[in-house]
Amino acid sequence: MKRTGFLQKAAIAFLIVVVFGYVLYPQAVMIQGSLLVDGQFSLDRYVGLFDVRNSANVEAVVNSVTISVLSVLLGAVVGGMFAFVFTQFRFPFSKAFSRLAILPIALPPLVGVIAFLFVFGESGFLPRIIQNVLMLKTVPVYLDGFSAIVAIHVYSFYVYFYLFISNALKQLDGSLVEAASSLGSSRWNTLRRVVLPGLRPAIIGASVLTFMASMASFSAPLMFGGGRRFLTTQIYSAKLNGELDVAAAQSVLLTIVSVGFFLILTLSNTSGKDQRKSKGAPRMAELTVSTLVRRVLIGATVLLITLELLPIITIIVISFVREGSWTWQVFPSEYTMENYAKLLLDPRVFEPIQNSILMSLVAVAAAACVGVMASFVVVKGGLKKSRALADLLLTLSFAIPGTVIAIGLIYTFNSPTPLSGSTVLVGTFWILPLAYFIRMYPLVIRSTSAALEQLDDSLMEAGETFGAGLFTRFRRIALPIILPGVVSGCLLVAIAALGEFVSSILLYTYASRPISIEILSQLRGYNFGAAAAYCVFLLIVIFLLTVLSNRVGNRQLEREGPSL
Amino acid sequence: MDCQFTTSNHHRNANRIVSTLLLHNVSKRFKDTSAVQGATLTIQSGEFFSILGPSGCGKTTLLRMIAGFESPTAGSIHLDGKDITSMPPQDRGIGMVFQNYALFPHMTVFENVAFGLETRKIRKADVRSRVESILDSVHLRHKIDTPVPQLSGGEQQRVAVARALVVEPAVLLFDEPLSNLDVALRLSTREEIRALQRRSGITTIYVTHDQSEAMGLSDRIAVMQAGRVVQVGPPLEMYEHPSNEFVAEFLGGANIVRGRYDASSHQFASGSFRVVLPAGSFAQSGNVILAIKPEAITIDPSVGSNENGFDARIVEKEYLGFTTSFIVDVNGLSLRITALSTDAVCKIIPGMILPVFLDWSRISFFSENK
Repeated sequence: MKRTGFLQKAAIAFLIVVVFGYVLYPQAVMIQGSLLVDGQFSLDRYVGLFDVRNSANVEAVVNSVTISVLSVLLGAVVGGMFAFVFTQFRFPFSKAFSRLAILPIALPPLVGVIAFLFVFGESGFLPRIIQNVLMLKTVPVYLDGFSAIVAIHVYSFYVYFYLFISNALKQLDGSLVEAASSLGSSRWNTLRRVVLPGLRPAIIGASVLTFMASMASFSAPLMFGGGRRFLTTQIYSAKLNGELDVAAAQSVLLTIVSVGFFLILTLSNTSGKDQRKSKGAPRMAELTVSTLVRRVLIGATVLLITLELLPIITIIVISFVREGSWTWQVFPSEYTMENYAKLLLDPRVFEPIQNSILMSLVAVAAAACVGVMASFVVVKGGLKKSRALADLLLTLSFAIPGTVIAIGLIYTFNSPTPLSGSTVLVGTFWILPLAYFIRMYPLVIRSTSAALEQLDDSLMEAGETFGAGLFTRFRRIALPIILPGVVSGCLLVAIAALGEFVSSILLYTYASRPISIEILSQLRGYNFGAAAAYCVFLLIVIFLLTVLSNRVGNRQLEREGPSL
Repeated sequence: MDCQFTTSNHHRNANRIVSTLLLHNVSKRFKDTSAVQGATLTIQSGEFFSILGPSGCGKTTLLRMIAGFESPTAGSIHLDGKDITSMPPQDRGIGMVFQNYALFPHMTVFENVAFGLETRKIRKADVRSRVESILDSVHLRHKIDTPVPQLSGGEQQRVAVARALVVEPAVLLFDEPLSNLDVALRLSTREEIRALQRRSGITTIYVTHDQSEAMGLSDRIAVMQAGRVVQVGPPLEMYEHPSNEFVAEFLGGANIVRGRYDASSHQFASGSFRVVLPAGSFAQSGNVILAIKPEAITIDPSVGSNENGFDARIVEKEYLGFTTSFIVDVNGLSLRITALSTDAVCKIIPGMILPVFLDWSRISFFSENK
């Protein structure tokens, strides 16, 4: 690898600038800001976070942890049940239902929350229907506050459990279960002592991801939180109030939780890798249950997945509602194409779409460059002990909540730095795609690295024996193998960037407002139809990108689990 | 070779209850394929019984039905007179050693072996002592607290045997237990399994596709072909008197020669290869098969001759140490021959034309008019 020596050094130098300059440095500046009170070092702001007299901050921490724990527990139940049902049973349309079960991860966070609001909120469809059927004066049950947030989290995050546990169940060697039963073990005992230990890594992995995602969740607490405080919303309001240093302290706390869990996950993953694969041709474990249990489980699964479709259907319906026509009725009475016509024809309405597309393209281009370079260095760079460290540093930004990344960027780029070409980035268009890039480039690393692992060095050497030059070898051998990985990683970045909300809300200006911000402001103006039309537009684009991604042949979503 | 004649080891171990297994007309269909068809077998108590056949013949399916992992589509299975056809596996009291060992990867050797005892609610102290004593018998006492992923393949195999044996099952099943071991280890483990079985006197059913394993281990063998049991018997009998050309080829590596028999002249013809068979080989004329074992043809000039001499052209020679294997051409017929590697045999080289002789007592005759 002498010829590539210089290229590799240049790549490593570039990656160090990216990781230290745009990921770690902003965090350091933010931490510094949180520790300086009037230019003096002080822990006051941290003490304040846990000061019982200042109950707002303590409440925020307690609330965030509580909803996260509840989200993990309920997410595990729902996702675990789906995984069990779809790996063990066959029933009519089970294949179609199993595909629908991964649908929620495709929804941008804000879209999911709004859809929930329309279906289960105080003025949502379901509560209104129940009210009318029972002829009550007020709406009897609806989701609000805690219950709503946990419901949305379960809806968005059970997919981690579903995918992880499904995979683990599929890989669970069936002969282990048979061996247990031939040793006289009952079904329950086998489940407890053989199956569950086999699923443990999957359950831990999904729990950590769900906990991290719930702690970092912003849209649901913002829309449904009411008067309650949560860490992310506290950071947002502190920033709005101009108390950036308070926001910084809260951000540091949130980051410690997220990154801490991320480290646990990464370290436990590497230790789980040396587990022995059983030889022979293992058959999948079959776990028998009684007919009653089987029917109950299938029934619950089908019901939940049908319920899961309601928010999406509702959003589509509402996108056709004439502005101002839906007030007290159970179902809207007037339908129109107006909202879509405006979307495409009114330049002012189209502006956010144009912004989001442009910013996504910038983020994707940057993520593709850095992602591919980083994958080559990590997988083929001949790193040995430092490989795990390089991998960790390069994917670390994935674990930092979007809110925190935005706060860090505000700290760093509200004055000119060499990193920003000596200009102030805050308040410009460029700060948004920069945030998207930082949050999402690890997705490209993951998908490209997975593809690169399959590129055996001997393939390139074989090319060399035929006298192919470096460029020819790259184009004819390496590129075809890694391209699907690169493309699917880029599509994931595009999907996430188009609907990005959490960082955007702290960084946008009117001129650079993305779709998600416009959805929020339409909603606040009670223009439900227009907000829903934007949502549907996003869903269609995401659907098309997902189809494209599957066509490329790299089903990353199903194989490696969803992005945060 | 006489040792193979030792048939069942009735009640070798007096304090062990030994069990008889009956399979009556057992069949299994998977959707549109028939995996096992009408298998009827009686396995005597204390017997080491092998089910032998090529892959896909239904032998593993048959074993899994005995264990209770598959339920037969027809027929019944009886253990000591009790119908266990639809009994769940955990109630059958049948132990099994899996092809991939199926050791619980998150447990130590002790925990694996103790698993079956704990499900039987046996006292802690007894569990410990029984695990220790069974590990002694497989020479793994010193590895008692080792996590199983750290064991070698052979050690894992022995833990699997210990785990199945420790609960004193009525019948012990082996599903190709040696196929994941290397050749040297396979031989020594084979001996160990045989010794363990003799000591415990447990009724054992052993599935394999390796005829030498089946021959070396078993009191009796059942050969299966395409879902059917084609022959059952002690190894020597199966080898000497195969019931059809499949058994002859699978067990003895016999040359299968198809041809026509003329009852009036006792002549057998296959292409331009012609030979007069001993009187009474077949009752009437028709299409017949000769199964000629490789050692039924003598190629060594120093050994002597008989009247069935043919001129054979040596096509290939494979020196295997104690024996040498040849492929020869006799009047257009390609035959495999095995001979002891005597000085004279070693001097034979491809291209030579030599007389070869048939030993009728080692040749089987089958009619093809079914």
